[in-house]
Amino acid sequence: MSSPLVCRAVIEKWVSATHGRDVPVGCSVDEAMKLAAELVERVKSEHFGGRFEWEPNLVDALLATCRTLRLARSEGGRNLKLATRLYEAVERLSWPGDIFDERELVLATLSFAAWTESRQAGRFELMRRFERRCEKHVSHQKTVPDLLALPVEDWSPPMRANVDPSTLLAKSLKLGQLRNVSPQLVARETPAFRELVLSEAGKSLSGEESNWMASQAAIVQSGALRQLGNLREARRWLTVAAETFGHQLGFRVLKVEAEYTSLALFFDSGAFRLALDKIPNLLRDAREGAMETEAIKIRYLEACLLKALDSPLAMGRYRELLHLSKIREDPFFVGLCLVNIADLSASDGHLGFAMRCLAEAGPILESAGVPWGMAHLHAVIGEVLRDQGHLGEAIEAYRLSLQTYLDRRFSYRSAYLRILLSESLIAAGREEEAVAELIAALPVIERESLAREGLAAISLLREALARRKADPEAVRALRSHLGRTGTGSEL
Amino acid sequence: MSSRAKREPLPGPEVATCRTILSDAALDAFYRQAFQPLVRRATWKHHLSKDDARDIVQDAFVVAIPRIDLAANPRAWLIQVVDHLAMNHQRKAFRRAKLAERWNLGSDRSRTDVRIGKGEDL
Repeated sequence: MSSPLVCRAVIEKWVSATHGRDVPVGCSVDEAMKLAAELVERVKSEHFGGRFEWEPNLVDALLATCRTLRLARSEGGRNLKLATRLYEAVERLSWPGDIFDERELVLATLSFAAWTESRQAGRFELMRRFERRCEKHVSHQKTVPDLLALPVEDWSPPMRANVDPSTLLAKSLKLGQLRNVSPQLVARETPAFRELVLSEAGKSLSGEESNWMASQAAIVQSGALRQLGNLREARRWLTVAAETFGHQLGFRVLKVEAEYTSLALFFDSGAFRLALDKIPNLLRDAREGAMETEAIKIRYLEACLLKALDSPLAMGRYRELLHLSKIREDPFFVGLCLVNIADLSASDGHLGFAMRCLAEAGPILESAGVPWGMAHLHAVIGEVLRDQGHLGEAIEAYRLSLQTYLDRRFSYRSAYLRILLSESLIAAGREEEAVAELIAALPVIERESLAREGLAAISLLREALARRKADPEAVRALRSHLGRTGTGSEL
Repeated sequence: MSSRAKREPLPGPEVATCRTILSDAALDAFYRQAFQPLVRRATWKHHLSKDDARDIVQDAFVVAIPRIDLAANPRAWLIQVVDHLAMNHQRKAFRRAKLAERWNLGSDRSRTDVRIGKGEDL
C-alpha cells in the first residue's frame, strides 16, 4: 500500500490534471433511448443487412436497446427474432478500443434476452444454444470478478447485489455442466445458488426467470446427489424443483428434465421395469417440445434399462443412438454407447469386437472431459479382460477405474468397483488384497439402505473376513445385488 | 517525469501499474480511454444519468489511483470501484427519496432541496 503522503500527492496531481477537463461522455440517456428505438426499427426491417456501422454513439444505443428489450419483456412483449438479429449483428461488429469488454457484456445481455425469448416460445434447442453463448460471453469478460469460478457462498454482498441476469444464467449452466465432473462441488454450491436466485439478490431476474433458475438448480442438485449415491436426497430435491415450476410453456423443458432424473433414480434403485414403462410418455413429451438433447438422454436411459433387464433389444437401441446425427454433438454419449456395446458384445463372446469398440471409445471419452466416463470404460475393459482370463491386466484396469472414482469421492461406485476387483483378486489367488478391498468397501455398503439379500451377503462376507479368508460366493452374491440396484450405473 | 516513462511509448489498454499511470502523458491517455466506457457502465448498469455517472467515475479515479498498483488487473479494479460507488449513490438517492416522501417534500423540489434532507448521513 502506498503511504498517505504519496496517496495525497497522487490525488492532488490527478485532480489538477483533470480539473475543468471536458472528456466526452457520449449522448444522454434520453438521446440513447431514441437511438435505440431507431435501431430496433432498422433491425426489424426487411432491408436490414445484418450489420451495424461503427459510430460514436453506437455503444450507448446498443446498451439502451438491451434495456428496451428487458422493458418490453416485462410488459409481455415477444422479441425472439429481434434479439437474435441484434445478437448476430453485434457478433459481426468490430469494436475498436474495447478495453472494458463492453462487446462481451452486450453479447451476454443479448444472449440472455434471446434465451428467455426462445424458452418462452418453446424453442428449446435454440434456448440451449443461447445458454451456451451466454456462458461464453460472461466468461470472456475479464474486467469483472470471475463469478463463474468463485463459489456462490464466497460472493460478497456487493457481488450479490450487482450480479447480472446473464451471469446468473451462465452460473446455472456451469453448475449443470459440472454435475457429472465434480458432483461433490456442485452439491455444496447449488443450494446457495438456488437461494440467491430466489432472494432479494436475484431481483435482477423476473419472477418467472428466478423460478425457472431455482427449479433448474434443484434438478442439478438432484443429479449431483445421484452421482454421489445419495438417492434419498436426490429424490427430495426433485420435489423441491417442482415447488417453483410455473405453468408457462418455458417450464416444459424442466419438467421433462425432472422426469428424466426421476426415471434415472428408478434405474439406480433397481426399478427397471417401472422406469421402462414410463419411457414412451416421456419421449413423446420431449419430441413434442422438439427437445432433441433431452430425447437423446431418454433414449440412452431406455437402452440402459433394456440392458439391465437382459433384453436382446438393448444392443439395437445403442446402435440406433450412434446413428443419430444429434448425438455427435455430445461425445460423452457416443463414448458411453460404445462402451455399452462392447460390454454386451463381450458377454455374447465377441471379445475382439468388444475390444475394438473400447479402443474407439477411449479417446472419445477422454475428449469429453468427464472423469467417470473413463472410469466406466476401465471397468468394462477389466470385465472383458477377466472374461478372457487375463486376470493381472483386468486387476490393473479395475484399479484404474477405482482410483478415478476415489479421486472424485464417488463412494458408492468405488465400493462397487472394490467388489469387482476383489472377485478378480480372489480368482488370481491374491486373497489378502481381496480382503483389504472388501474391508474398505463394507462401510459404504452398510451405510446405504440395502435390501435383504444385500445384507445377507454382507453378513456372510463379514464372517468370512473374520477368518481372514474371503468367501467367493458371498462376494458374488453382493456384486450381483449391487449390480441389480444399479450402483455401477453410468447414466 | 521519470526517464523510463519518457523512453516508453504511451501505454494503451494494458496500463498496469500506478507508476505507469502517474506519468502525465500516460495519465492523460488512460483517462481518455477509460472514462467514457466507465461512464456508460455507471449509466446503463446502475440506471444513473450521464451527469451522475460522470461524477461517480471521476470519484472512482480519485479513489482507485493510489491503490491501483496493488491490483493484478487495474481495469477490473476500476470497474469494481465504479460499481461500488454507483450502488452507494443509488442507495443514498433511494433513502433521500423515501425521506422526502415521508416529510412531504414533494416531487417538484429541486435536487438541492432534497439534499438538505441529507441529515441522515451526518
